[in-house]
Amino acid sequence: MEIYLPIAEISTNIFLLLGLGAAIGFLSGMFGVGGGFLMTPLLIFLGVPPIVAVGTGTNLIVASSVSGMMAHWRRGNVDFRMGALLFSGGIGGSWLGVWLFKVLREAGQIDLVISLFYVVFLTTVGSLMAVESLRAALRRGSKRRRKAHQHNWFHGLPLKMRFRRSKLYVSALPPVVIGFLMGLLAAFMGVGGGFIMIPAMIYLIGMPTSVVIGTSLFAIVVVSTVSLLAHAIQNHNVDIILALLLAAGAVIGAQYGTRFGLKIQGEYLRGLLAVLVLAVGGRLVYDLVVRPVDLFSVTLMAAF
Amino acid sequence: MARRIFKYAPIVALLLALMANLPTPVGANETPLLVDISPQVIEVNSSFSGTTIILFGVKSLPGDIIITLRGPEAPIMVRRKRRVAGIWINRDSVAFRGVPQFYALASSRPINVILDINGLNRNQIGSDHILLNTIWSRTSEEVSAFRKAVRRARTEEELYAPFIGEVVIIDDSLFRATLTLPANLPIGEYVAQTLLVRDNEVLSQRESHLTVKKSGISAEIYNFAKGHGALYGLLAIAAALVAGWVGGVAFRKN
Repeated sequence: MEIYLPIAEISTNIFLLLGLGAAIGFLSGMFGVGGGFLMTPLLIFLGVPPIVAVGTGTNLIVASSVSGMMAHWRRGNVDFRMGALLFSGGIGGSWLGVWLFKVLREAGQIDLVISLFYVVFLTTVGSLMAVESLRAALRRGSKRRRKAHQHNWFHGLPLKMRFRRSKLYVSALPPVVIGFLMGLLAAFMGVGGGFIMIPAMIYLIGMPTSVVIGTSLFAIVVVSTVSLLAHAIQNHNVDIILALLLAAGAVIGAQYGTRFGLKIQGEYLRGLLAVLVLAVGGRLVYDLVVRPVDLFSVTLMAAF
Repeated sequence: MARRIFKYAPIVALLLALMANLPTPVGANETPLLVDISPQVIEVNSSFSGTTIILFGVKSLPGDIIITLRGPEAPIMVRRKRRVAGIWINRDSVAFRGVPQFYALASSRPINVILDINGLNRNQIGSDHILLNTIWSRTSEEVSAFRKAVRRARTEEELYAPFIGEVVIIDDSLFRATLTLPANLPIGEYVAQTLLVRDNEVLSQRESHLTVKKSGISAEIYNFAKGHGALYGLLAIAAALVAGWVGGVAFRKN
């Protein structure tokens, strides 16, 4: 059954979209990641314009992170004070990001920049995960000892604040900066940015793992909501029909993904994810490096 | 049989109207050409898969008929990729103004038989002969590759069609053309120009107008998103929150 996507302006099969949503939901349930960083490139491969893929991605992130945030909130795993600092930086980052997005779109370079952002992040994250899971697989049995809370130069920064839920007394600057970077990523890549923010919160700020996921989801909901609104106003690139179809598939897929993920060992799971991430990154590199069939592209110079 | 009669009904009606207005034989210099088009409005909805329109008319002089259909005109930007540090990126660009997004033609005989190359250029007949004017002045050498790219891209998308239907002339006075339009027909205002040509000379010409507009729910979403970005954004947020919440509730039961 074909459906016409009003903003992407292409016709696709409705079951293909539901299936894609389900596959991404399955992966995000299985690996515990947002899945946005896989969704945007897959939509581009499907023929959705990169601009619309990013805008719609922000819409999908709002839908998929709300339920997770609510579950963590109920268990008291959200540090609202830390979250507020993260999203105050994030809102600034996402407004700047969406504005830059618009400038680059008008200069005809946005598709390239989106691809480059993805290539850099997918190959970096994929390689790190591959190395880490290989090491873990070789070292099975001998558990690594890690200090709960290390002190580093971040803790010498001024403007210290007390975070009761995280049991921390640290500077307010790192969370704002981390949030700002996350906002930029959200605007440029249509991702939540959890895969950058969570390691930063654990290793740089030193937050306890129990509150990290809930707090990052809280910040992601706020920042992606702001990015979504900014994209809708400035770039008109949010396809609500596409987002809802993908979200419907993702909700169902995530349930099975979570169950399946519990059956597989952690390091194999991460190894699988690493392979997947590298494959998607590799495809993007291929598209950039290989000589295009037509060197010319024709675009309408719209009045808006 | 009934369908055939129905097809000719508008032509018959037009003829009757003509006879009523012009009791004497049609004046050679007065109105050598009369044309009408049906339908005049095409609605494109989510299941639109192309359509046909009928253009019909009468001519009072012997000669050939050429019909051109030009789509909505808009400024366009053509970019050329160059290899920089191993990757292909957009480097050079040329902007053109007033470029038709759709161009097709129909004729009673092949156009190069009806008109010579100068005639084709002068009247902009055929997608290779329509003018593509740049917005900023450039040397023609620089621009010619970009002009070719426009024609190639549009032809590949079947938006510049060399031939979309034959003009059938009946008794050297009535003519009718059935024009086939593709599924990816751009939205906007179209002009169908009918030329009466004899001995490499245009004796008369007429313009008919055609509107192509989006209809249905997808058109409303599109217009709403472009016209009321902020409101559309808020709606998208509300939809996402509800979807996420519903998903969360479904999760909890399991």
